[in-house]
Amino acid sequence: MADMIDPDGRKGAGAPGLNPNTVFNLSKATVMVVDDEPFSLRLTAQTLLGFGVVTRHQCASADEASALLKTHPVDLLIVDAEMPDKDGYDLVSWLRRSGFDNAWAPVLMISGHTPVSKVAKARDCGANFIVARPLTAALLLDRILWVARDIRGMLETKSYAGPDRRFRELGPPEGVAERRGDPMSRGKINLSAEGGSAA
Amino acid sequence: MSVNWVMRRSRLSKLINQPGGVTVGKALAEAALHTEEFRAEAMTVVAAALDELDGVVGAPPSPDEVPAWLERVYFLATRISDTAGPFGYEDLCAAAFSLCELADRQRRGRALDLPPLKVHAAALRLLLAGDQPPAARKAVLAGLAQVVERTRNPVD
Repeated sequence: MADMIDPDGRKGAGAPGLNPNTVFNLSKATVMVVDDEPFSLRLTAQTLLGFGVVTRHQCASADEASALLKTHPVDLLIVDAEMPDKDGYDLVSWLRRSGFDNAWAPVLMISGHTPVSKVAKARDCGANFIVARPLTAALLLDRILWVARDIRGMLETKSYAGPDRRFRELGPPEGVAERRGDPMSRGKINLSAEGGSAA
Repeated sequence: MSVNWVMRRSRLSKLINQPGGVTVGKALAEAALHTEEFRAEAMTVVAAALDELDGVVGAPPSPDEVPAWLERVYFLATRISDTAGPFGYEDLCAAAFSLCELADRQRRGRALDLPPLKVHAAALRLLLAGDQPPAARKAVLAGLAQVVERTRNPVD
């Protein structure tokens, strides 16, 4: 078998911002995991158990998730992007326009390789963050903590429903390149409701 | 253009700061304990996917089978990458990701180019065996990157 590059998984690649002494509490959070691969679904759920998440809904398809989301409050969704039939992007796009209590729940989209044909769909689906595989426990926790601190407003337009795609306050997770390198996304320009000001 | 803003703090942001909880260090140790039992199963899934991949690339499709055939290659590559990833097999994941890229290109270009796919399957087998020194594994990945670069579509 291949050698492991990160044997203990505690300083996982792609999660440079994790401080081992940071305290968090997910014991009362309800988390939904949606993944058509049974192995990945169980693995992610077990990882969440390690993080102290007690209530975990495991859904094997977007349809199963949709049915639950209509009636069960969820505090965080972890959704596999690539699924047959209705994929993770379709699920989140539907959720954001659903009008249900869960419509604006934080969403982490887990993506392996993104086919070129789906890049625009990924960009516009309305997830809070798209996490690239390989998904280590450290990377997942880092992104959960980041999304919990994500204070971006949600906006709804004719063509898009989801979090403001500009990282004006919090910035992207440490080690993640900004989608745009413009001054606004780096927080150097503050556009308030009353008007704009440049720092 | 009409834009509706919803400014509300998520319930998650409130829950996460409630008294009690665990440290990041302890949570990751717990997660490692809970997931370690999956390691052997993960490697079984990877080995099975690689066996199937070998079979698929060893049996070239007829012209009308090419789209479904490439779809299967892409699916198996993602399965290898997704399953091995959480356990730190980064080189294996990188090779599988490279195969995803290649299969996706061929899928879009609607043109089958079998040899680079076979090279990837062989490289995955080599990396899974794990008996190569780090420098050799790195060289394998560099070789795959060259293969992918050479097969870049004119539209990319």
